[in-house]
Amino acid sequence: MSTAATLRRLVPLALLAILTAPFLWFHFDTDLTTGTPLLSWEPSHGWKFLKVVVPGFATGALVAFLARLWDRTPRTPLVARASHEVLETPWMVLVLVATLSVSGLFLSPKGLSMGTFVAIYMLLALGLNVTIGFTGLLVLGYSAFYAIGAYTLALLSQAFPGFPVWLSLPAAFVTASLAGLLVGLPCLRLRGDYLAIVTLGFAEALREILRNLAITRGDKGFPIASTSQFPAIGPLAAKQVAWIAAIATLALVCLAVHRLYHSRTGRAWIAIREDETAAAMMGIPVVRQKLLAFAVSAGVGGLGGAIFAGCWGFVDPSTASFEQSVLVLAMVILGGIGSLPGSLLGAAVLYLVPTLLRDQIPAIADYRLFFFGSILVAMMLLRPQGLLGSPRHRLEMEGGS
Amino acid sequence: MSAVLQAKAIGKSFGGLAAVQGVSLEARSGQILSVIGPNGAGKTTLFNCLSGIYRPDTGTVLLDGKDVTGLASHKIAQAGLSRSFQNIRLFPEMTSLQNVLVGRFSRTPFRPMGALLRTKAWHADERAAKEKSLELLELVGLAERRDDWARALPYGLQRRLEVARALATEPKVLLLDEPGAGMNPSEIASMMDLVAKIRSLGVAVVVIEHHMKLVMEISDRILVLDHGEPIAEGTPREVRDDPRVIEAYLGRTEATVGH
Repeated sequence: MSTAATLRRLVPLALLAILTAPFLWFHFDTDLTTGTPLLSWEPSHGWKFLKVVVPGFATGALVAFLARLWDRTPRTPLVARASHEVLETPWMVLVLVATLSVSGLFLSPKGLSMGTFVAIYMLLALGLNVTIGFTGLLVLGYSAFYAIGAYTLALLSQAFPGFPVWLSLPAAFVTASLAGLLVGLPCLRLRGDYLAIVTLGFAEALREILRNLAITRGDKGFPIASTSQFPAIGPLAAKQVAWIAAIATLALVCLAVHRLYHSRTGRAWIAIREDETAAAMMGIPVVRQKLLAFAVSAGVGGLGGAIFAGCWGFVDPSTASFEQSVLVLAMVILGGIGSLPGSLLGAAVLYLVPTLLRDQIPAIADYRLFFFGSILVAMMLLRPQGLLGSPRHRLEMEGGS
Repeated sequence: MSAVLQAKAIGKSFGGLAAVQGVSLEARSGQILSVIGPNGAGKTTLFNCLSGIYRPDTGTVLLDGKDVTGLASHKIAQAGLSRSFQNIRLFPEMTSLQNVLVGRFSRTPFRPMGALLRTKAWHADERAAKEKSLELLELVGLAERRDDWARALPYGLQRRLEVARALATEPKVLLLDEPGAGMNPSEIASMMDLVAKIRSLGVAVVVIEHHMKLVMEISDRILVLDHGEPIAEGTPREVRDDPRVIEAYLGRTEATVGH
């Protein structure tokens, strides 16, 4: 991209600055006695805004610049190739899991729970990537399956006191997959993005149901008996067990997704994404394969939800919120649609950046969403295919070449 | 020899407009049947009806004696009919080899557990699929470019890759929709060599082509459509001398000139 093109993209920003200027730099008021409008120079908002905007955009530009450097490696980014090699060598995965597990034990409780959340979000991004990245199906209500997983554990712990978390995890996978099948069955038979709107509606409906059903305890939320959470084992504290379980599950899911992707099934998914008609002509039962992808994706979401419930010890209807869906979607897009290591990276960045901004730089805590947003905007301008995505998506967004 | 593909009285209308009407055809193993006709004669619509992309309004399609009328494309493909598309429809974001491997889908056993655990049986399946795909890439002259992205291939090679991908489904009947479209004469000639090679493999080939000289040379039989209806069917010689065919082609040209 030439400098001129980059500059041209700044034009809308400049326009925005001009349009917002009256609100940032001036104070509007009305003289109460005469009713005449008053306009006074009031720059305090503006300075406050600039203090945030400038470093915000600087961060965004820096991230985008670093991301562009990766492009210099031919064909596939180095990180993507490295992760492929690791996943092709199961003992390397084992070593990684062991190293991460052990290193987690030296973290503070806070760091540990942050790490666990990163792992959970990585699971979610990985799961969503199966539908949106591999199979090309847009899902806007992914949090529904996360919530189903979380509430599966919660309800099981209520129905069978002392129900072990180790059985809840597979149960959550199964219930979320089945829910996925149920939701997908009517709309995956159709072409186009019906799934997006149906899943969006499903998540919203589910959230309302969770808020209103007696059995899910409504808005108050659902505390989970400690016997159904991750237990302390021997010298390991419960939080440490949760961390190890999250890492191990993540590794297993990575391995499974990687292997499915590099098999007949994965090839069918990509073929469907690339051209549904041609895929069908190659003997691929398109509807069945879409359902399979969606069920796997939903199941992984459920797994993430159950790990969350098992380590947090409390679930509430906000697990099914739209914000949650959008966050995971943003993770997949930031990392690079269709890229497995991209999803992991996107999840880490989008979870850690706002959290660290909030915790480490209290001065800008109120504006962290702005920083977050500017990084996303900068990314989409300068590297639309995501951190580790393939360059083709950029070509498409620029109207081909 | 009996026909492996038998279509009887196929009809398809779009909002009252009959795109194809009463078309019957028979394709025999090891023979080439060409479907010709002016633009808009319904050739591609006919292919879409045969390959399950459209559901024909009337008529029946028998594939190897089995009624496949109105079945979904993937079932027809599994039953042994494959096709290429007039506007190339490869999987652009896959390599040449991966494109052909997708064609092996229905000829490779479904082993989800095998894929997850990478069992011996799964490895054997993958290897077999890969070997078969490489053979086909060799056949169409793309062995060197197996790892190139399909989108990066030159136009002529994309057409050849589409043929290889279609062959990967092990079709008894292969429908080729203008395999020579947009090619220069020498590319067309080599494409027609390839079509002849496929015929010698015992596949029944049905081909839509505009290049008359090549059609006459290569076809065993020719079916002529005009305005969605069959106007002639026979050997190249019979068709060439048919007055209705001459009229469909020449008469139309005069009318165009008259405008």
